[in-house]
Order: sequence, then C-alpha cells, then structure tokens
Amino acid sequence: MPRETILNAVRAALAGDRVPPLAPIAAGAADALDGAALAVRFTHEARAVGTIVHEVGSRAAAVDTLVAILDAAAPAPRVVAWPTALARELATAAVARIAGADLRLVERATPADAIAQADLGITEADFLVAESGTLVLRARGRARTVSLLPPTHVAVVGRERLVADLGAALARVRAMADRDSCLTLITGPSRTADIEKKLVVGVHGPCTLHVVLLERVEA
Amino acid sequence: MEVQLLVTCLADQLAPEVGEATVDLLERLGHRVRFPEAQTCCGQPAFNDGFSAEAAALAARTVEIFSAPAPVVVPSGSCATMIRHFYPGLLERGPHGPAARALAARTFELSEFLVRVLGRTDVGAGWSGRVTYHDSCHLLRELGVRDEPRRLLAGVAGVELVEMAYPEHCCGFGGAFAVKFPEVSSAILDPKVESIIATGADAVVANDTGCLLQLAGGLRRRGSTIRTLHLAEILASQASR
Amino acid sequence: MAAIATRDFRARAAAAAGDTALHRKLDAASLRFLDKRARVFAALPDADARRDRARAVKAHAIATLDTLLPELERRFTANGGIVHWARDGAAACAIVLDIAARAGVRLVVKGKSMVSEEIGLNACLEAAGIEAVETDLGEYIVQLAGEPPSHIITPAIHLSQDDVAALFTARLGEPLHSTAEALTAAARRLLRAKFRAAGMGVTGVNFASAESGTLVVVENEGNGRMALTLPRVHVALMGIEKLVARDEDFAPMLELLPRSATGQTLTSYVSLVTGPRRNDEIDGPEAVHLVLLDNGRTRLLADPIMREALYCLRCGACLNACPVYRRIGGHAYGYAYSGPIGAVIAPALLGIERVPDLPFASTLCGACRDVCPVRIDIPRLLLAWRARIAAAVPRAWGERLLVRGWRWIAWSPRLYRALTPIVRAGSALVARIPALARLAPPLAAWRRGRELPRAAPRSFHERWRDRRHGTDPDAP
Repeated sequence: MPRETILNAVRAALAGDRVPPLAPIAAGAADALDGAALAVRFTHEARAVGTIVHEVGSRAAAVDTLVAILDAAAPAPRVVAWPTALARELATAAVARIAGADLRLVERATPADAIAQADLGITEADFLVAESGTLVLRARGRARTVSLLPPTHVAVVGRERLVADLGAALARVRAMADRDSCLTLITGPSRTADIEKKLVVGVHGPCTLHVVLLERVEA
Repeated sequence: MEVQLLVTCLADQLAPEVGEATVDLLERLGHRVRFPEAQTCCGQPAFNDGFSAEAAALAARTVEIFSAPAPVVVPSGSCATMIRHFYPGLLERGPHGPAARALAARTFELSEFLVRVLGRTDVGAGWSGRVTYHDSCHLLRELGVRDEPRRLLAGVAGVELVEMAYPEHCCGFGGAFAVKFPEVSSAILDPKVESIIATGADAVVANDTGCLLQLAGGLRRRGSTIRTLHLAEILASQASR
Repeated sequence: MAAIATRDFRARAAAAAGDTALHRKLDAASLRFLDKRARVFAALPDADARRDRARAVKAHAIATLDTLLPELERRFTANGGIVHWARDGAAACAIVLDIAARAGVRLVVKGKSMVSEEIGLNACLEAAGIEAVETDLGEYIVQLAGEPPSHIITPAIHLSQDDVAALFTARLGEPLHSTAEALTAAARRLLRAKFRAAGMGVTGVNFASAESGTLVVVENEGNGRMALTLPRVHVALMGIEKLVARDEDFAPMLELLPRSATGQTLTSYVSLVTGPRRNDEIDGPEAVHLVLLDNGRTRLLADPIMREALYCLRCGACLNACPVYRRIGGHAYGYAYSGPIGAVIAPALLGIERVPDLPFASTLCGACRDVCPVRIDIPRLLLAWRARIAAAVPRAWGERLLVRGWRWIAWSPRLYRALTPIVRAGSALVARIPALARLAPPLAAWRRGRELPRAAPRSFHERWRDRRHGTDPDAP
C-alpha cells in the first residue's frame, strides 16, 4: 500500500524528533484601525491593483453607480447576479432603469455558457481585506462563476464588512457555522505578465473589477 | 593594539600591494602588525569544492598559526567568512574545536575591524578621484558588512563615491566556479563590468582580491582603463592630504 | 516520467552563457521581479519577523508530517474529497489516468502545477489518448512550443513577444499578433472553449491545512479557478511538504508567497478548496481528488541537513536573485525545478549520480538566501551536497590532483613559499606567450572571458621580509 509505505517513511524520518509547539498567530497592527481608516486603506490598496472602487453613501447612490457601470459595459447589458439580499436589491433596481437590460438571478444550477454570455456579474463580498484590497467571497448559495466568467465583475458591499488583514478575514470565515466547498479571494482583475513581463488584464477571468462600497447598508 | 594580519594566498601571490596597504594603514593608525609567516591558505578553495578533509587540515594549520590572542585582520570578506562561519563547524569534532571557535570570535574583515572594532570612519586618507564600490558577496551576506566600506570611503579626502547599478550583484568569481564554469562566470561578469563602466568612475573598489581579479580581467578584456583597487589601497593612500 | 536531461548540464550551461538574447529576456523579467520584491518587502512592517514566522510554520509542519498527513486525509475525506497516495511520479500519473478513465474524460484543462511538470503528467495523459491543455498563459505558450517551463513562476521567461507571436501563428493559425494584449486575447478565446468542454481540471496546491482539509490554490489569471470550478472532476496534485498544521497558518504564508514571487501584495485569485460541491451550492466540481506525492520527499525529510529544502514555497525568488540562473535560464538545469532551489532538491529527488554538477553551479553568493521567504540556507545546503558528491562521485583526476596537491603545499609554509617563484615564472611565461595557457586548463578557462592576472614581482611574504629584514620571530 503506497499510503503505508509513505507514512512509514515519514515516521522513520521523523523518529525521535521533538517538536516545539507552534505559537498562535498574533493579530496584525492594522487591527487597530477603525472603519473609516479601513475604508481608506482598502480603497488605496484595491486601486493600486486596478480595482475600481466606488465609495457611496446610500443605497440610492449605489444604484446610481451601478446604472452608470451597466451603461458603460454594454448597450442593453445582460446581467447575472447573486440572489443575496443586497446584490438582488441593487441589481434589480439598476437593471429596471436601463432599457433593454436583462437580469438573471442565479439561484440554482445554471449552464456555464449562460453565465459566460453575460456582460456583467454582480456579487456581494462577505468581507473586504483592507491591507491587500481583497474581496472574500463564499460559495454557499452563490454561483462561483458569476465572479469569474463575465468580462466585468461588480461586487457590492457595506463598510461593516471591512476587516484589517487576511488573517482577520479568514478567522471570521472560520467562525461561521457552515463550511463552503470553496472560498474565493479576489484582488484586482484577472492579470498576467507572462509575455515579456507586460501586464495584461483579463486573461481568463474578468478584465474589469468594480467594488461598490456602501457607507451604510441599513436603509 | 597588536593585530595579526592574515593576508590571504591570493593577495600574497597576485596582489601583495593589498597586504602592504593594510599594514601601512594599521601602522599609521598606531597599531602593531604581526604577520605570522607560516600562514599559507585558509582552505576555502578545498572547502567550497567539497573536499572537507583537505579543508579541515588547512583550517587546523591556520588555527595553530594564528594562536596568539591578538585580533586577526583579513583584507578579504571571503576568507574572513571561512574562518568565522566555517572553521568552527569544520573542526568541531577534533582537538582544534575550541581554538577554532576562539579564532572565529577574534577574526575580522578589514573594513569591519576599522569601523566596528576601532570605531574609525576617517582614517586620515586622501585619494583624488571618482570611485564605485562593489559589494563582495561573502562580506555583504555572510558578514553583513554593507555600510562600513562606504562610510570609510566617504571619509577619504578627495574621493567621490558613485553607486553602480546593483552593486550587490555577484561578479561571477566564486573561486573554483570561475574556472569550472568559465562561460557562465564571464557571462555574470559582463553586466557587472557594464555597470562599473557606466558610472564613469576612475576606479572600482572592493574588499576581496578574488573579486578584484575577476573585475580587472573583465575590464582589461574590454580595454577599459578603470582601475581596480582594494579598499585598503585607498585608505592607505594620502595622495591629496 | 518527466523528461529529465540533467547529464549535459555543463554543455547546456556553457551554451546558454553565450546567448545574449536569452540574457536580455531573463534580466528583463528577473530584475523586475527582484526590484518589485524589494519594494514590497521594504513596505511590509516587520518583514523579517514575518519570514521567521513563516519558517516556523513550515518547520513545525514538516516536523509533524507523521500526524498531519493522516489528519489531512481524514478531514479532506470527511469533506467529501477523495485522497490518493503516490510513492513516485509514475504512480501519481497512473492515479490521474485511472480517475480520468473512470470518469470518461477525454480532455483535461490544467492550472499551473510544478508537481505536474515534475511527474511528466502531460506526456502520460497524451500517451493514453487524453488531451491535456495547459491554461496558464505561460504554460500554454511553452506547451505550444513543445518545451518545458524555464521558470517556476514565469514559464515562458525565455521567449520574447515576437517568439510568442510567431508560435501562435505557426501552431494555432492565428494572424500575426503584434502585442501582448492581442496574444493574451487570442489565448483567452481559444482556452474558453477548452474550459467549457473539459471533463477534468488538474491544479497544483500551494498550501494545505491538516486542521480542516483545505487546499489553497494561488494564481493571477483565473485559469486555476476555471480548472477547479467548471469541469465535473477536479484533481489536485500536491507534494506532501505543502502541508501546514492549521488554517490560521494560511494568512502568514499568503502574505509572503506573492510578495516573494511577483512583488504583489496578493495574487488576483486565491481559492480555498475543501471538497466537492455541496448540496446547497450552485456550481463547482462533483468530485475532488487529492493526490499526495512523495517522489523522494521522504528522503529529504530523513536527511537532517537537507530537510529544510522541504520548507520551499516555490516562489521562484531565488531564481530571480541567482546570478547563475540569470545567465543560463531554467532549461539548462534539465529539470522542472531550476535555479538555486533546483540545485538543492534535484540531487535528493533524482540522486546525486544523475546531477553531479548542479550543486557546483553556484558562486555561493547567498543572494538566494537573502530573498527566500522561509530563509532556506541554500548556500549551506549546496556546500553540503558538494561534500557528499566529493566523497561519493569520482572527480576528474586533474581536479583531485589540484585540490590534494594544494592541501599538501599549503600545509607546509616552506613548500608554499617555494611555490612563489614558480608561479611568478609561469605567469611571466604565459604573459609573453599566451598560447601556453592552453596547457593549463584552469588558465585557459579563465582566459575565455577575462584577461589573466599577473603574479606580482615579489609576493607579500617576500615584501614582509624586506620590510622587517627577516626578523619575524615566527619564521620557521
């Protein structure tokens, strides 16, 4: 059995080793920042990697921003969106304001082609990591492909989802009762520099990444 | 104080002016220099080539030759590294173990000795011209000496220090590497020589004879007249004072 | 097995050392990575402490693999995944083939995986009539070129934009694209069709936690996400050294890997996979297989000196920092893992008889250790290999004679000093008649790219005696 062969080799190699316990990972210095400071840091880091961050004060302003993004993406844009509360509400309101726009809320298994044909995918970030400008997206009840296949990805999120660093974000996810099969961290658009180190965005994933960051989610 | 000079075999045979400059400098600063004449080679070439027994034999010899309690000054980051970092391990199982550790503790590369031990950055030197400094690898990364040579150069009247691109990049010498992989060694040397030439310096300064031989060979091959000088030679000079 | 052509290392290194076009391409990429890395590390608070912590995380994991591996297996299985164990590359390929056969897979899309290169998976799949398509742009390019990758992070580092354009025209019938953007767009279009049709996605694993059975896949393009999301089967290939003990260890490792590899704070995408799609999830694979590969790693583990090579994160920073790598590129090494870390692990994974020259292909400058996120002391490991090779592999008689002869000459101050006039005479003679250097191979080698130094008219020993009139009491 290869399993036993390998494990026996491992045990033999480690025989007699004494292993000191591993210290817990301490919280980073960025933990001390408050909400506004986290938003400033997130915006700075996200923009540095090519994410377009829209800071808006209210849901109405978020819908206005979304309408502008949709208008710029395509005439009569086809939109796929997560069925989460904030994404559903904002996407529905924005699409209603654009003639010919089409919205599909992805609530059950949907052929990848249908999602790939959309001009734009709207998701809702579970957390934002200030230190690296990163979105954290869970998978439960939400199609992973919405943030992957359309050429433009828009994540909507309230400021209360900001955390200082990656360690804090992953700790918050771990504290949740359910485990997803996949947690996705997104930091900027899809990119490559494989040809002569020239930065090109939109290799396989989205070319454009927007974050609509709401100051207050409560109405 | 009294110091012992370990001149290194390369400087002894190919660049004795480095040893003379080191002696002149230390004497000018008021120190008594002893040169144990039984010294030959620290054993690094054999060690780097994997011949541990041969290296250990020469290490043990060197430990015996430098048994006096005075600090040992080496005008080479590489040979100083050999004694400081590798002698203790190489000799730990034999009768020379304690003496090797003691020697490691009192062995210093020249610029490190001047700045860290003696606390000198102005040694009263004068040398007129523009120089660029090449960080030799062992001095920089094994001994952690980056600022000391630059501070010493800054203290020399008449010297203008210009940094080359990537001064910390290897020159490609690497001891036996230079002749085991001559094409690769020369190819590594090429950008180093280009960055030296690009500074417009009159001289390139380094603290290791090995690097200086490599740099000189590359500069001469290109017909460059840029001089290659050991730091000791600049510090010993009083040309414009 | 992977095509391993380590024997002719010296000849390939010498040839690459003369390829100035290659040097320009390597410098353009490596120096840029190095500069960016230096900038982001300078901006990272407590960077040194973070490296210490990352090293401690890996050291702890490697020292407890005996408990962590079964724990990972238990957790990942509980998550609904399937774990396989492979003693060597052939076994790993057989496992993947078997999974493909059972699932009726004809087309495999691949995310970037160095383990896949190590075991030669593509050749194995293709021999079984299964199409394997690399989807990382750099990997796709080298696959089209019929070459192995030449850098851990930037597989096509040795090809220029014009090279890639010509390749796309020749192999894909694409119009001659002139820009990186157009070439990338062509790859996006062509590979979208492959992602849609593939029955299996194969990826590597950057980290895995035993605590929860989570696999971390780090990438920039989105091809990794495609490969682990769209096909109905996902196969993750992982060397057993990729484990960490706890989920909380991910963040400190993720802070350092992209910074070291490309100078990014974080890559565009990081996927944390725990298993197949759950009932209440909308997409993702139906089955996730994890292949745990030994292939010589337990030999490294059993070697107290070399064990720290298992801490490697495969960030490629040591390649960028290495003056030798920047002049010979990855292909010269003849193995999936090139550069300084390649020269350390190849002797363990392949056996020193097969790579007797690799550990010597270093100036021991230490730049690799300076940039290593987990502070692997690569120069010390290379020195240790050199000592073992010197003891085990017969060296050329000339080299033995030189080293042993020098040991006896330098042992005796009299012999050493007697050598001085001989060196001097030889040096003068070669200066007068340069052709004579050919009789002494080291001199001939030196002269290939440099002028020879001249022995001094009087050695320092002689000058010292001049100065002190031979009064030194230590003189024998």
